[in-house]
Amino acid sequence: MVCVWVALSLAAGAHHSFAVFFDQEKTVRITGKVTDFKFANPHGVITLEVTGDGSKPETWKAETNAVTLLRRRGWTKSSLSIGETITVEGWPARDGSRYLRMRKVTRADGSLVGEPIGVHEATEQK
Amino acid sequence: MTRLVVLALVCLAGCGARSAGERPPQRPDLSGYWMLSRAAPPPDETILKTLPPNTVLLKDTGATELALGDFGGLEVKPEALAAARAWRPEDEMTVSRVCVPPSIVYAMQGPFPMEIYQGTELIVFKLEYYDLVRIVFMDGRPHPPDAPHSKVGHSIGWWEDSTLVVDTTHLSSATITNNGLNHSDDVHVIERFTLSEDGRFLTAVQEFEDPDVLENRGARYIVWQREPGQYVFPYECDPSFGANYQP
Repeated sequence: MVCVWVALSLAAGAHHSFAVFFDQEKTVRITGKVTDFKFANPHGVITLEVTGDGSKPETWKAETNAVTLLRRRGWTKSSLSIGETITVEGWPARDGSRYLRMRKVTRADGSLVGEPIGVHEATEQK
Repeated sequence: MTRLVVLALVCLAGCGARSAGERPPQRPDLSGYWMLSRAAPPPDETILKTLPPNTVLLKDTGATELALGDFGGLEVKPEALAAARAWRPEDEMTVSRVCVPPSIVYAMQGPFPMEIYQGTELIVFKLEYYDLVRIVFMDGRPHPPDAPHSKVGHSIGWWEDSTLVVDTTHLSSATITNNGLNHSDDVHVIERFTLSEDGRFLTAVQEFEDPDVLENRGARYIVWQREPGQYVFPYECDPSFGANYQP
């Protein structure tokens, strides 16, 4: 199942170095199967196989915050399983590539992976 | 002659004149785990008034960062300005560059925690960000002129009443504002650390001057909050991340 759309979000007005690469004025949600999950600094990377409408599967990557910060929100290297279906919400890459900056991950049952982002809101940008 | 030498050594060990029975001054204990404060109070005007003239306070602490071409009021000399304008952020996102740490000029304000271990002759700052470890010598030694340059530099410190003053030189060139502006190897950093009365907040005013790069001086106001029971995690940057940004 594929579910990709773009919507306006209430993004912070501040400028961040990654704003060069990601559009904080938009939000992308992608549902797919996890094919790889790298849990390392400076940023983790979730790789997803996204299939929709009978079309050819596409590979998407979602960059996470520094994993030391994710750990404090309850994430571990075992938080995601290969083959698991998840939905990743985040900021899209400005260059139009299939790459985004993760803000939130939910499992197929709707449960959130880790704690909500607001717990460390001041630390989420870098 | 020998007695004179011994007397001189005793005086050095005493670290200043103190009458018999006089207790050494109580210093605040900065030891512990400190996270950049998520509810930082506005800058203490009393502290800011201590900034030297011609110093601009950068407002990019923590999550906030300056946009491309915005150096927060720093007056950049032509050569450094040309280099900053030529900087491309994608050049940093390579396997060879992505794990190169910033210096303490930028790293101290980053949104990562640190631990402080306070002794009498050494104070150690263990930063989570890029695993940087700072050693501040409190034993009165000067900066050695031939010290190697690094991202933490060479730091000496002393107490001014209840304020810890840290003087750092020998920093290797690195970013100031994370948008292309770099300091030189000759940047000079002074930091003043103060503990709140209730011990919950640690404040630093970090000043830096770099005549090779800047016409004026820069400063940052940084506040951390104490979080007992927490500890710094290993950062262990993995350079393979940079491959995600390559075509």
